[in-house]
Amino acid sequence: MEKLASKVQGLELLLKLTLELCSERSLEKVLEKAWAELARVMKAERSSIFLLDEEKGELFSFVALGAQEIRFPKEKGIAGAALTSGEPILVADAYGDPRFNPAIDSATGFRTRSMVSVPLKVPNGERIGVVQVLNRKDGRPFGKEDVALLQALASVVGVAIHTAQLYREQQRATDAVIHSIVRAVEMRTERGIPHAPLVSSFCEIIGRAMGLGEEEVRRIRWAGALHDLGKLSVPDRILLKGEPLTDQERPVYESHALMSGRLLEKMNFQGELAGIEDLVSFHHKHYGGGGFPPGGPQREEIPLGARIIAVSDAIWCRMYPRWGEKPMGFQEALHSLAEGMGVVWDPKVVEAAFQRRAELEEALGKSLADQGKREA
Amino acid sequence: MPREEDKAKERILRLEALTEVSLSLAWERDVGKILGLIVREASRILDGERTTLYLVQEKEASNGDGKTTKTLVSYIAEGGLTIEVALDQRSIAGTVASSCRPVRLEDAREDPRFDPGWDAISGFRTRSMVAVPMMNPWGECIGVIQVLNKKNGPGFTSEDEEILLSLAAHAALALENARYLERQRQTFQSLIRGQAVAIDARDHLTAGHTWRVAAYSVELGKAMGLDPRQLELLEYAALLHDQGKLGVPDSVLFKCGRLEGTEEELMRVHASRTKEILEEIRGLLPLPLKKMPDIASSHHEKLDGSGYPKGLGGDQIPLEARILAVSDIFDALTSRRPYREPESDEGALEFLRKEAARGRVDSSVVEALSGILPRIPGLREGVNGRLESGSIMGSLGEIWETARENDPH
Repeated sequence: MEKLASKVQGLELLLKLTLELCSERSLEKVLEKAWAELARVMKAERSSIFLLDEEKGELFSFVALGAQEIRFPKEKGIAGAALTSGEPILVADAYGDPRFNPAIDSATGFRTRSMVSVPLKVPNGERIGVVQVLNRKDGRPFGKEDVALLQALASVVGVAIHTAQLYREQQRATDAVIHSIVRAVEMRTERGIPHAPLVSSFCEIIGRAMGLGEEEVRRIRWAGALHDLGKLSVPDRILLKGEPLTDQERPVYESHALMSGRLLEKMNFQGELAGIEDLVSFHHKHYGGGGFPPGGPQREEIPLGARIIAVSDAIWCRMYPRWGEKPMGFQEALHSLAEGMGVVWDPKVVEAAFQRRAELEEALGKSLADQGKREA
Repeated sequence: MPREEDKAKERILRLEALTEVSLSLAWERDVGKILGLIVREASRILDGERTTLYLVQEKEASNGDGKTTKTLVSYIAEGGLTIEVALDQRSIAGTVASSCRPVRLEDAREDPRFDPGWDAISGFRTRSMVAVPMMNPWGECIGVIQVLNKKNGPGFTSEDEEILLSLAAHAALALENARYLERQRQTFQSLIRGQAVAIDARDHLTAGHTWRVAAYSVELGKAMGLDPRQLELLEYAALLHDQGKLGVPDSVLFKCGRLEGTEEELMRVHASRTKEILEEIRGLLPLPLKKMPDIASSHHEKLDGSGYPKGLGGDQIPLEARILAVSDIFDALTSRRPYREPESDEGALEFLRKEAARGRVDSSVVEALSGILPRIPGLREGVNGRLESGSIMGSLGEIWETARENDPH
């Protein structure tokens, strides 16, 4: 009877785990949860999840889980053996097994005794990685029941990871196409310094700081990347002019914000991109109602995304002024925004930017380094 | 106590079945298949004669004020009738969805909320019933699962109800996840289709070119027996093939030379820009789309090695790129330019046949083109119709002209 009761408990746990893992949409969160649950349920000192990088033919650990990323050829070690054979491997004494790769222990400072490794197989037969549990907490080596339990857990973990990977793939494909559009547009306008990709990163950082949800942050990040699309229809001789514009040229230049919005509207985006034109059209609108286009929304009526793009854009524009003004350093550009708080900028957005200055500066450094690599 | 032991064993069997189903549900990506799975498994695990699934749907009010109301719409695996009920206490399903609580009845016909009309139409005779809400992980009810007529017994038990509630939670999650993935796909597809608007905004002389080339390429691909994945890849590559035009300077794009009939320099510049940009994004593309940059940027390569940007030849040029090359030339020839009238479809085909004979384009693609030639006008009209009706581009040309007119020069 006791055995039956524990069987019931085990099945109920699996059902609960499926709901918990599959309701997470970010791969990081699925891995974090799975990682913690594996060790807890298996009463192990530690668990590991290695994912298969098919292109490189390597297994790798996820950075967020404990120490740094560990990468090794997909056949290597006991994890590699489990992946290759598709079968679980129970090892009572790791250091006595010739397949054991002690490099990971020496990297993490952990001492593995006994371990169970199970391939992450999904229902179409594909193997997407390996899970391992190390050292039973009660000091005894793992046994056959442990292997069976880990296999059951692994089937749930595998499906949850695979699902989150699909979401991530789709989102990255969207990132890729947006990046290609932005890069193409900037081939005309940029003077060595990437603009929209950096504004996009700033938008993401500020959006997170303001506590927005994943999807909202993604939309603002995408809108931030596409905010200057309208410059396509501004002639080179205005767009690339190195000195202040004349009164006749200025409206042509300023039309780009609205033009970006109209272009995006014509693109008829669906899904998460639907309606991002509203975030873009008003990125030069001032919080107090000024700016361009004239008229239209003010203060909280301006979409939050547009207010975030405005601040992100302004930091960049003060660092790399277009028409002969004196360039500012990052800190100076950021601080200079304090003056326009409440009139030009939404104070909440500027405060969020102040709060995350270190992250913003790091994104700037990364973007410059990427540009350096491209030029080299 | 053997009686209790039997009960525990029976519970284990059902939990095992449920665990298996929950995994199948979590794995399934297709909404239609998920619905089928729910209906089938609910009847099987609960030992019921029939299962009806209701989904909560947002409906726009008929007075057209844009407001939406929620209703329940039935989904029955074997086709059959579609039932629509309001989310209120007047029906059993409506009660379950609006209260988010299960309902269990030994004889549904005695319940005032039961509508005997459906039994009369379908010929089914309802007796016992258990109906549970499908709660998603965020605490919203997105549907109702209703199992009818317990096969061996007077009615459904509280254990049945508990099992069905668990199945409903897994079903709701699977449905939400499949919809979420569909939304991600839709986001990507609408982006890659929509971005061609930007290319036309930059060079509206060739407006619609990108979509026509995509439409012709897909049709050619189908005629040549490409599988759905290859067709998808081909369509996306076609939609991106001129992206480099976005980065071509005005001096090249609006050069008088184009009026003399040569677009050569423009083509060379944009092809190498397309290649450069698409190379950069390769790392972000999922495995099935990794070839997209190669296909998109090889559409000016020639089989004899005389093309650009790489001067690839023969088998080095992927089949998809060879298809793209033929559609690209075909559309350029059959489109109007300020300096010449469009070539007829037959005339363009003749030109391509000569090119194939000279070993520059793939003759099997050109033959496939001659096979689909009767369908070309329809495809062209499809795209041009969308351009004119404004559903794709609308007043883009006008926007663009306004910008130029405002330009003091």
